[in-house]
Amino acid sequence: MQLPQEGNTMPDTSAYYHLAYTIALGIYAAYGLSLYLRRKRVRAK
Amino acid sequence: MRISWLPTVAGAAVLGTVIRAAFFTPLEAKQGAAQKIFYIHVPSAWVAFLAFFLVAVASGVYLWIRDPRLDRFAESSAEVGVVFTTVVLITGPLWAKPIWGTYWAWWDVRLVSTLFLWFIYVSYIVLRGAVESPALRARYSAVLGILGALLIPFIHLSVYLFATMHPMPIVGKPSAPSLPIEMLMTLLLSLVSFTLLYFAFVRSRYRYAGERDAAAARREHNA
Repeated sequence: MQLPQEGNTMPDTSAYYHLAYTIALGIYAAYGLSLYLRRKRVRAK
Repeated sequence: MRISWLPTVAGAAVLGTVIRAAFFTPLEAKQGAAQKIFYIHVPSAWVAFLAFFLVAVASGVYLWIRDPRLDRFAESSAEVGVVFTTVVLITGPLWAKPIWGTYWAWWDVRLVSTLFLWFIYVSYIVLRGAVESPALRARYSAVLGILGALLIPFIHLSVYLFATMHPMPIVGKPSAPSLPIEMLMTLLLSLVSFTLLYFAFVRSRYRYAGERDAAAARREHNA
């Protein structure tokens, strides 16, 4: 992996980057929330 | 509401990693922004391997001393490992498409063996739900937990053993890491923050399993 040099043209791949981060962070947040809700439910029993 | 320190620290560390990756880490010369998927894909894969390795260790010790706490830990680590592997299997193809020109290649051993690993630990979770007796459930799932982890060294070595599109390790290799220091620092931060996230998830999942088993024991006692 290399740093860009002056005058380099890079492909615009930002849509994949944004989508990957959104999905990954969404999965982790959803799992964290599911753990919280499951513990809350079992404590209420 | 009581705030638990480990999830708070882990969440802040992951947020810090994302901010550093997005705003304070340079773009890669040939791949552009898609290369930044690296800072979420690689640590997720590392944590998934760690999770399944610890499932195997806890399962092996469980079969020896039969302590239900080890079974609960293995159950927790396996579920968290499946979550991290799911992220690996989604972020990998999203990185591959702009770089390789395809989301997936069925002939690629690294990709397919990682998918198999995911299936094995999804089966582990299904198995646990299908066996009623706690002792039998723990024993069967311990065996599957150990056998599944045997795939981890194969997955790691697959890029050396077979022709694959997946790149060779650029950090976990005998020679020096082949990436600029700014990228290396972000990668190291991401490895630490996602490992913290793993421990936060496993601790919470382990506590849930303990509370669930205690509630089941209470119900049985009252019946």
